[in-house]
Amino acid sequence: MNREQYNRAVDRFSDALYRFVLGLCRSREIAEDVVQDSYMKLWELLSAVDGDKVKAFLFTTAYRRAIDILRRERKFADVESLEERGGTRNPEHVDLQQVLNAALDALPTVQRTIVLLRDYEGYSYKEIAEITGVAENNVKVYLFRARVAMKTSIGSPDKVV
Amino acid sequence: MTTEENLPPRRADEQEALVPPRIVFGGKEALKRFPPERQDYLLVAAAEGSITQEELDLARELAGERFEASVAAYARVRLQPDPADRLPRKQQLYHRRATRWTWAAAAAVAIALVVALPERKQEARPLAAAIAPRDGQRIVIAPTPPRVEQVVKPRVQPRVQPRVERPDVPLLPLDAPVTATAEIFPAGPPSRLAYRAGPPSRVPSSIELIAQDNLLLSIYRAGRSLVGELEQQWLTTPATEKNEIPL
Repeated sequence: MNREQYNRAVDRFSDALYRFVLGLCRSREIAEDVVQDSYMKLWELLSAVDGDKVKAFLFTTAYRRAIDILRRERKFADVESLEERGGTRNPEHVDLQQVLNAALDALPTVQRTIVLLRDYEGYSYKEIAEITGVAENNVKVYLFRARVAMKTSIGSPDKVV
Repeated sequence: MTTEENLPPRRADEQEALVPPRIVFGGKEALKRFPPERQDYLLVAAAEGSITQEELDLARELAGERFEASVAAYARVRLQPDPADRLPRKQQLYHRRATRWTWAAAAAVAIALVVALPERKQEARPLAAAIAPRDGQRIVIAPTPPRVEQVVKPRVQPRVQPRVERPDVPLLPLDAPVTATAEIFPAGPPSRLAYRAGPPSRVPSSIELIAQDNLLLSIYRAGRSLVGELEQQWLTTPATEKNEIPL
């Protein structure tokens, strides 16, 4: 991989990576830091990273970094929870994406990660397994549980626009 | 008792085992029992598009008429990325090649550093400035002269004067004690000159200097100046002079 490919990777993947980490952490500052760290790591390992696998490299690095931050926050409990970061929501949900985001925040981290990778980036089960380090069959199970939980959170479909 | 030896010999075309009849039980699927989440799992898989034909048939059979609606409900449970969420300050991530202007700016900075560094060296204050009295006058210590390499001088052979017999001067006996007065001076810097100069134009006091600069830097400079002065003082004084007793 060379400098031009690196800059192209910034063009192509930085926004998607930012949205992924933002969905995971619900903090714009953390998401920005994680994206910058991921690209810094990519620049350091530029010659070792294959150009075809740069996206997987970025998402894997960002996922691990975000997990570290979330674990540290959970350990020291010095920041607000994901629900607090997401802002107060009206109990009378009217927007489907708001409801889904609220349901997403209530999911365990690994399920949240899998849903984000699946919905935002359209990754296959195998690719998600490679990024998260979870077995492919477990990816299916986690996604199934997450979908059921999110569908339950919608409740009556007529409440949602 | 019938044994293998009592049986008649087997023909070559005779088969050893019976072939099971190909009869299939038609009600097999109806007997299967699935856990309740099996149906949801298949519906989710159908909504995700990752389901085999066999699983799809089973899902249709389990869900019945609700199959299409259930699959549509799960298909709605998908997050949509917000296109407004874009990485701020993305320009910081790019690694551009250095342009001609970049090299020019770097060269200008390098030249400025080269010019500025000697100026910084000259700004180093002598010890006298750091300990200047407040009565408007200061003690100025002349700058240390350049060190002169010590040259080993050839030992001068004393010239022995021939003894002149003077009958008018009485000779002293050799075993009589001789008394002499010697004053011992401490060894001092021979090349140093201290004098009082007129009122300086404007010399900041030590407090001002410390307040202006970093405190640690000021202490470091004062210490370095003091050590330099002491080194110069002791190194310029020959070792033989230190213990010399002038008579």
